[in-house]
Amino acid sequence: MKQSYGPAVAMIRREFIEYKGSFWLTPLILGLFLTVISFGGALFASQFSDWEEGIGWFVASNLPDAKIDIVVSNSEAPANNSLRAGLVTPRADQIIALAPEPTWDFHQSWTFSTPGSVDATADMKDDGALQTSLKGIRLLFMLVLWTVSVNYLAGSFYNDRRDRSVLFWRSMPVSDLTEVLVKAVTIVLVVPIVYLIVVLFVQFSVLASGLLFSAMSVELAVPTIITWDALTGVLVDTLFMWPLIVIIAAPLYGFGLFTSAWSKRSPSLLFLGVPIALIVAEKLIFRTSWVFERIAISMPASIEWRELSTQFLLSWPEQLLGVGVAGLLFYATARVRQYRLDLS
Amino acid sequence: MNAMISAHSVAKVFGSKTVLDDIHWAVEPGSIVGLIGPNGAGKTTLLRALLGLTAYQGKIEVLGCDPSRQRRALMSETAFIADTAVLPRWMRVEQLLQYVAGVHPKFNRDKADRFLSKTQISGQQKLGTLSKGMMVQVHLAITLAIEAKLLVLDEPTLGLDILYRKQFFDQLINDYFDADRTIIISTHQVEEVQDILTHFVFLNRGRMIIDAPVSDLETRFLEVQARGENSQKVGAFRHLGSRHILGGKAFIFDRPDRTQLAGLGEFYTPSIADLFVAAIEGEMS
Repeated sequence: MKQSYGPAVAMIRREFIEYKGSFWLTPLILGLFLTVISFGGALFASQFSDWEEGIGWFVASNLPDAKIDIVVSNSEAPANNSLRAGLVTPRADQIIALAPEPTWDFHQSWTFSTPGSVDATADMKDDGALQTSLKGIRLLFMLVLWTVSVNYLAGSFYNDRRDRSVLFWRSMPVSDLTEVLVKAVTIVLVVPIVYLIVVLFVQFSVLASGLLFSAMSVELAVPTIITWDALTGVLVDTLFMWPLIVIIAAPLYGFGLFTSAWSKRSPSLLFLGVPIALIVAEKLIFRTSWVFERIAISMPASIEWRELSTQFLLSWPEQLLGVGVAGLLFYATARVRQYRLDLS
Repeated sequence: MNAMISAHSVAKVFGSKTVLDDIHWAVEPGSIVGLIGPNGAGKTTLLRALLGLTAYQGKIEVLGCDPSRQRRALMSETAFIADTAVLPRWMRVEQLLQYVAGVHPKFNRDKADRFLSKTQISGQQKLGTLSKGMMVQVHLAITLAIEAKLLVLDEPTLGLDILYRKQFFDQLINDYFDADRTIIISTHQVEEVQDILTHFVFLNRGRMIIDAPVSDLETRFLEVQARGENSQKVGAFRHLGSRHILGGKAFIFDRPDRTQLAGLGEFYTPSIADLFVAAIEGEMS
């Protein structure tokens, strides 16, 4: 198929070909894995919670030491009239004797659960559990994206000098600044969008699996899985947290590309080593930790969204300065890139 | 006629080593120039300076552009093959062609496909899996499909077997070269390019020692093969260099007085290879 692209699209496409493992495959595989796990887990859990279908008898037959917590409640006055049989060791060939009762009451409802969880669906009724899961998914992907970003920033210009393909790229009519800006846009904007789409997909999958679980389980009303406010809160966090982190970490992006273009060996070491050296030097000389705090705040999960956005708004002149520094570093990268072709 | 390339007082120093030393050079359109020199002569540095790939002192203009400031404009009119190993090995041939089509306004994709259809290379092959010769074919297909006015080749056939080398230069002459285009080929293998050149430049230790059209081989240079005692007589005249032949010596002269040498030996037109060896030896002695 013969397609013609604009220079920027062709160049971003090139980045995605070179880093397809980090940019495409990792989030996709991780996303699919989590989706399968969440749906599989929901299906399994809903089956497992359905004791009336006979799982209790399965346990009784196959796990001789298993203990089941049995609660019998009267449907006419369940709150006040519950009887707990306590932990019993069931046997399939034995009728379990419950509390003394002269006649069988069909109004009683029976709930079986494993010890420690009186109601198998109780956790799901608390929307905090699902919210935590959704946040956990976002955190996991942000950690992966952070690692991918460090690897890309430190390696992109270095790798094409190492395999000498720099001579081919520079035989094309593309300016050095364009090349730097395309790489910056790729890792600052395009790759996070890919991750964001996958995160949202996985979050919705987990949500859908929760609904599936609730639909297949007893007694759980669907709206109690997660409140609308909590859901939108999680999604807003997912949408806006990374862009804010990117702005806060803008100087690191600039520095990463600079080390990649400048370093003759181990650009990752330089990329991570210089900030660490600055943190130590600041601590020793000034007894302050401004650099550390500045970098720490841009780490995934170091801080909650509300606190992050508050701090960001309070320190916007500093953030603006950071973006300016990043711009200067991008320009410096282009200048270094102009004549730095070899690693020797 | 405006020169395609003009260089004035170009110099380059790495630490204490002078890599280019006061280079003055002009290249006219429609030329095929061989930039010939031993390893470390400064050929690659000079070509990189022409393309804005290395810093330099002095003034260079290529196609009216200052390479250090207008590299993007320059590269839209120029094609460059560094050597066989610079194509990105992680890309597929098709992906590479799509990339070039995206960024190069003068790339003719159909032309590239036509070149590649004559080879055994498929678009789905990864460049890293191709042999050196095939890699060169891909690079050449891309280069020939770019409607460039200037083609710069830096040791383009290094490491290739003789069949690929011959095919490379044949294709270059048949499919690329015309009166409006210029090719600069850097090499230290003189024999393989001497038949296609219109000009040759000898570079040694960063200095340009000879810059001449091929027609000068007949008019400006002379090889005298002297035998017996005539060897000593001819050797007494100022010459570029000499080599032993059966029963005597062959001397190469630059602008000799042919009347003085008449009768002392047989006159020949030197080959570029012989002239190169003589010139480099003369420099060293």
